Amino acid sequence: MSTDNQQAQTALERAKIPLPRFLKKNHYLGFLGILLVYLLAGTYSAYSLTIMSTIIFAIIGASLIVVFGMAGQLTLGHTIFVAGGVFLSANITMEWSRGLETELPLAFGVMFILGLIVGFPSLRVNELYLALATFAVAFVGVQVLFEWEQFTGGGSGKPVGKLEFFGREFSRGPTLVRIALIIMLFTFWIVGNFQDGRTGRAWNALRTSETAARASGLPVAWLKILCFAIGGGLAGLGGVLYAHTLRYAIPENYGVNLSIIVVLALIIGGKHRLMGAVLGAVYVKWLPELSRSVQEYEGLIYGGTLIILTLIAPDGLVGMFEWAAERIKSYNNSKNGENFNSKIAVSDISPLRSEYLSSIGSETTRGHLVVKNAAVAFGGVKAVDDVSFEIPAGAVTGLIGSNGAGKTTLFNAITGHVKGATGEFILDGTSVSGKPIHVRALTGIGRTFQNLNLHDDLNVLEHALLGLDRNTNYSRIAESFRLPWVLREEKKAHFVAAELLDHMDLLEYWDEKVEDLPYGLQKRVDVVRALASNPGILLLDEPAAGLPTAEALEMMQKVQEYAKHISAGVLIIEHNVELVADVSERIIVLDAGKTIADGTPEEVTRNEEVIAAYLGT
Amino acid sequence: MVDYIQIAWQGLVSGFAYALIGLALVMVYKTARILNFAAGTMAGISGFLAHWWAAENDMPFAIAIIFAMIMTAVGTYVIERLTVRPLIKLGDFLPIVIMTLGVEELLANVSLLWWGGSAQRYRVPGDIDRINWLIGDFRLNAWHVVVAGTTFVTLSIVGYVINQTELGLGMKAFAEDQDAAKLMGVKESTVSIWTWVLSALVGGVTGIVYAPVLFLQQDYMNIIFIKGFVAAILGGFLSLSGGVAGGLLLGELEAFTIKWAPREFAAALPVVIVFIVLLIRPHGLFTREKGHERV
Repeated sequence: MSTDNQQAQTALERAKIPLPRFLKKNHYLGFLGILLVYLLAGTYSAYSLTIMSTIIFAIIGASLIVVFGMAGQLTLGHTIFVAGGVFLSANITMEWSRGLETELPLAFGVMFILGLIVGFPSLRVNELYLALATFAVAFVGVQVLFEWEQFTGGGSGKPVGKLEFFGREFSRGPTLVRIALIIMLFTFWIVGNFQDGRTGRAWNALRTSETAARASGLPVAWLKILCFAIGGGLAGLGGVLYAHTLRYAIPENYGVNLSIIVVLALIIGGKHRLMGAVLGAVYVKWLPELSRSVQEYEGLIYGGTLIILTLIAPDGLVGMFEWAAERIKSYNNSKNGENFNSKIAVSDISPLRSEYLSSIGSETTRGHLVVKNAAVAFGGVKAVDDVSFEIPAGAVTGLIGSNGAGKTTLFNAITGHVKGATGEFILDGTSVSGKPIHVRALTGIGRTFQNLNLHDDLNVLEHALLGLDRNTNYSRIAESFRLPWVLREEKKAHFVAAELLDHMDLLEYWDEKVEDLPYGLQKRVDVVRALASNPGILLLDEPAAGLPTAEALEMMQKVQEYAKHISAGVLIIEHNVELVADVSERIIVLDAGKTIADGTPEEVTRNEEVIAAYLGT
Repeated sequence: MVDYIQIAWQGLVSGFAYALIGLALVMVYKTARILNFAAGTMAGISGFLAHWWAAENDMPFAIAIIFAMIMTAVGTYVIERLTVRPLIKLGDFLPIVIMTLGVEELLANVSLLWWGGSAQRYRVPGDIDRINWLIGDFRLNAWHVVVAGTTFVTLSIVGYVINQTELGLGMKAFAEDQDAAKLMGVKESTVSIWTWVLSALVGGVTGIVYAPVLFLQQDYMNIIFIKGFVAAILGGFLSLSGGVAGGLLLGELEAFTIKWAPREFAAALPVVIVFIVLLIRPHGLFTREKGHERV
């Protein structure tokens, strides 16, 4: 660990990692754009309907970014939230004679709750299924609207009342556009804050690998439901605006077609960026304005655009612009011969350093793991057969055995990645048997995967930050409003992540996407993610497989150093017996699902049974 | 009593459609792990083509159907090669689903431009869809008998292809384990494309025989598509016979719900079923739970 005092700069400063700030360059640009439309709202009244629907589509797009862009849950039922907002608005204004002050909170609240319900199938099915399940929701939703005459007025619909705010009436037209812009600003602010915070990071992780997200201790089920609830609530706001724009709520406007178009628009624009929501809305809403013939072939053009973009630019229009910008930047950089990261003042960070290093270190040694009668059977095959052992706190222990001896299965039984494991697993006095994966991870079981389970699309730093999630203390509500302590906690997390990356010699790659890294570095990223979660015991599944021995040894030593620093225990599966013997204080040998030896490296390597079963003669 | 038989028969007639589309969806999902969102519209276009050739271009009915089926096969072949195939090597299935959504949007608009949005009557030879026999109080529509017959023939053909041909063997191999199948020398692209074509043909047959039952409207197969999907979920999505059984079950459930439950509930039935099945038996009613996932 680079804690030496003579090192003047923190890892953060050396790597020029930009820190989360209250306002970023994007924020200023966004404000400026919205301000411009706000001021010009009165001048183009002929287009105000198109402007309104563009804004509404941008809001719906932003809400879809949460569900689809970040959390990766392809939903085709998103219009039911829009429809919900529309009909709530019609009912509130007509039946209760209340204005926006009731419509907006109620639309958000009710659609949030509906989102909790609609999000439910996402827990039970994979993403392909989910797309169809939500498609069914959209399809049936509109039929229910048709039949539910009391609420929707049936096929003939329901008029929408006056545009009011606390009793003050507004004329539609430019004022409505301005109100819409303010709501859009709010929506974008919330979604943007999630993108920068831990929830957004967790959603991204969930999208790219659910298994790994669970292993990092992320509450995957809650995150999935939450994305539907938040996305639904925000789409409900769009619905309120829709109601006031059209002034009449008719069920047939909110059918499957709208559901598909909003998804197409977002994908065309770019599903990972707020700018994509805007571009998609502009594309879908302004293209038909160009000419009559475009209007006629509208759907054809969207379908065609989507097909072509999916083939050549999966990240949509924004992706294309970013790619072009990247090209220009790297061309300029190659001319200047230097790579400048953004200049950020980090002087306010340094005092955190000592505070933080002491906070990660733990006084009590952890990692006391008791495994009692562990057993896993696949059909008739007993992969793990009544294994019991106890590892003292802070120890580095090796777990060896031939292929198929049940080592990884034993790991999976400890971490909860395999169903139907029996036996008892106790870490530092807390029993984790029968608990879900993420709860075990939060109890302090960290792990790496035999066949690398990283989050493609996320960079190295984000992997470290994901590991740190459980030690980042701020609520999701605070996050959505970007409250000051969110930024403070984020800065701390960035700081620790950078130090850890530095320790594992990954600092210079911090902003590389993991899939672009060579295999050896990917293995290290996997270890970093596990270490960052400050585990009580770290289960490493063949961390050195495929690495040259020297590199493997170096990595193992670094892991050991860090584990000692955070007073954690380590349990390693490894085929390279010399390597294991080098780093471990103790070795457990499995054969055909049973423990056949357990002792110091010297004892084990001399044990006859082990030699016969594993080392060979 | 006759009432119940009448309702049960109605349920069966709708159930055949759900079963066939469910089968078509499961087939592609099982072999390639892809959901084809364009399946409904593709089936609808087959129905339209047959109608167009037969009614508007005065082609003999049987020839019009054969033409429509050939067009369905060729069209599906082209669509699979141009849109889905280039994405398969990415190994991620979400872009493929999105792609089929784009295809759906494109095809739906092509058919809308071609045939317009209004409903048309589908004419069959001798107007046998207008013939009703009365057996006691039980009313039997002649075309419904044709529908039932076609369903049985289609199911038998699919059963034959899957159990007796090399293609069927390849499909089974892929359904079991994609990587192993590739290693055993089963050619993925061949199996995939013929599965698509077979699935589209089953959909096409459904579109053609159901056009006289439903109104021939631009999106008339979409509702069948959704319910076919519900059928597939009932059957666990990985079992062909489960999909068929699920379709028939759904048809019956629906027929009896419409009889007794309020209309709002009858409309929501498919989603209610999806939620209940996913809650209680996510692996379907007729299949047993699969083993563990490897990490």
